[in-house]
Amino acid sequence: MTDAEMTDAKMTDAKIRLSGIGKSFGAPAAPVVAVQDLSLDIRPGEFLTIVGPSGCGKTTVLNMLAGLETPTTGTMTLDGRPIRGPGAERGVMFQDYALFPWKTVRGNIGFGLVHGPAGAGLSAAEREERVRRVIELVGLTGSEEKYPHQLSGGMRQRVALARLMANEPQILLMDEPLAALDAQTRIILQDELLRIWGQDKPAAERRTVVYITHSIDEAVFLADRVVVLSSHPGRLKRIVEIDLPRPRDDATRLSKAFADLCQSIWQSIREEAYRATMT
Amino acid sequence: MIRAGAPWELIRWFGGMLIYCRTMAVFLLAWYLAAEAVPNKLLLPSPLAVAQALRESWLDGELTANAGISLLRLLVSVAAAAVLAIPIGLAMGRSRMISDLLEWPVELLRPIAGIAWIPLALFIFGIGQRLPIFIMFYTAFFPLLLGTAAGAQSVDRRLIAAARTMGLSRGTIMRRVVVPAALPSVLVSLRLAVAASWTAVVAAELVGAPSGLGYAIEYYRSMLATPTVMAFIVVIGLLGFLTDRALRWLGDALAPWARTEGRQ
Repeated sequence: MTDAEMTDAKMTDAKIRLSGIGKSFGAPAAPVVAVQDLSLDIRPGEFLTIVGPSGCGKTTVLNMLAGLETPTTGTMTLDGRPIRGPGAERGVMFQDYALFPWKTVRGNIGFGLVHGPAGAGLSAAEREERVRRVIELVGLTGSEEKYPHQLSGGMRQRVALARLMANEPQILLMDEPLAALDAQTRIILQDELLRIWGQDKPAAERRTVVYITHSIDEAVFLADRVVVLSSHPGRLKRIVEIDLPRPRDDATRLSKAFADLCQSIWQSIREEAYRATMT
Repeated sequence: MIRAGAPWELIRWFGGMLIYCRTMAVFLLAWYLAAEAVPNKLLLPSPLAVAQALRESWLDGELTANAGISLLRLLVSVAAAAVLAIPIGLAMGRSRMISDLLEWPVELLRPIAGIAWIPLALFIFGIGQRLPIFIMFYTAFFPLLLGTAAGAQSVDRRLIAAARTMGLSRGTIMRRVVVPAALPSVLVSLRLAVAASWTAVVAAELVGAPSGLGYAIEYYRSMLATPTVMAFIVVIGLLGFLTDRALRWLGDALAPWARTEGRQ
């Protein structure tokens, strides 16, 4: 990356900048292209959601942002510096939770605080207090001493969410975090997520969120912008600004503007979605 | 409806014991009848004679002394094998380079039975403590090494990814993710190692030691005291069974998550 590019990234004030990102898997002779030529600026404090039909490379994009996979082409920067690997400032919630089976609910949630840099400078009491608070927040009180295999899918998902929140990373990368929850819990946690992100606070104090979901209304409800990807290979199809007023609540979910935005996004992916389902 | 509870647990335990006793009784009866059918008592002593011999060697302290020394040798050699094999196994499981480096020597040495080294070990160590300890160490080493390596290699990649995104260093990931994730495999291989070492103990002590269960068996064989020989064989079986039970209990205590996961 040249100096000119570096200044450029700073000037536009992108928190994360993807330029011409591509990712292929498999043999070089016959590569499978998962993501192609994706350029995107993620603004600081922005809640960005990504939707798209299956096979659009959503998870691959998230893994690259997390630093767990390296792009085949293009550059990725965070605050103007190239992303070269994982870092504690980018917290990830994995689609399959990735909970530590030998740790209890409490041990899993406190893992990053105890063993990673997230807990640096905190006393043991402060760590415990933070773990207790997120346990309460996601509704796991009473299950603190259970092991992951003793929990239902929905509860495991809450543990994964709580583990991410306990670490309080600057950037939250979330891969379908609420997918395994029932509809009511999901709505409650959407509201909770917006609160944690800081929708009541001035924009400068908010964390940056990149959020993958297959649910269009969830994407619209949460986001400042919705990124729509198309599949095979994953490409940027459309970016939709969501100018619904904040704080958002149940009134937002019932508004005409909300419904119109959902409808518009559905129109842009329905063809591909049908194709993916029917074939 | 039968409700789970203490009395029900007790009944179930009692039922289990009953089945166990019945199996044992059938076995002992068959043994007794076979012994009666064999005219030469030297070839197959009856269970009663064995029990009598067992009682005698227990009373004069010979049984405890020999069993104690064999058990101690076993513990020392398995502990030494574990101290060496577990770190190397972890390194093999996590590093392609180390695994490639060690694959050949390991695969060449592993198929050789520990007892095959006895003649050579006799020259090196002479008769005494060191020879049986070396043979048992050798026997315990490979199951532990390969079990640990397999456990470390098959650690769920997503768990390591999760730890990396939390900013953990490589060393911390090794200690806090790889080691606990591999622990159930290590514990299983420890049981295999102990079982294998029990089979090696007799052979090693038969030739190379002036004490222990294997030595006692050889000694009473030369005295033609077959009931006592059988008595010591029974003791080896019993000790093997008890150490395995103890290790299973240890495994359940150290890795409670693996217990419920495995048996559901």
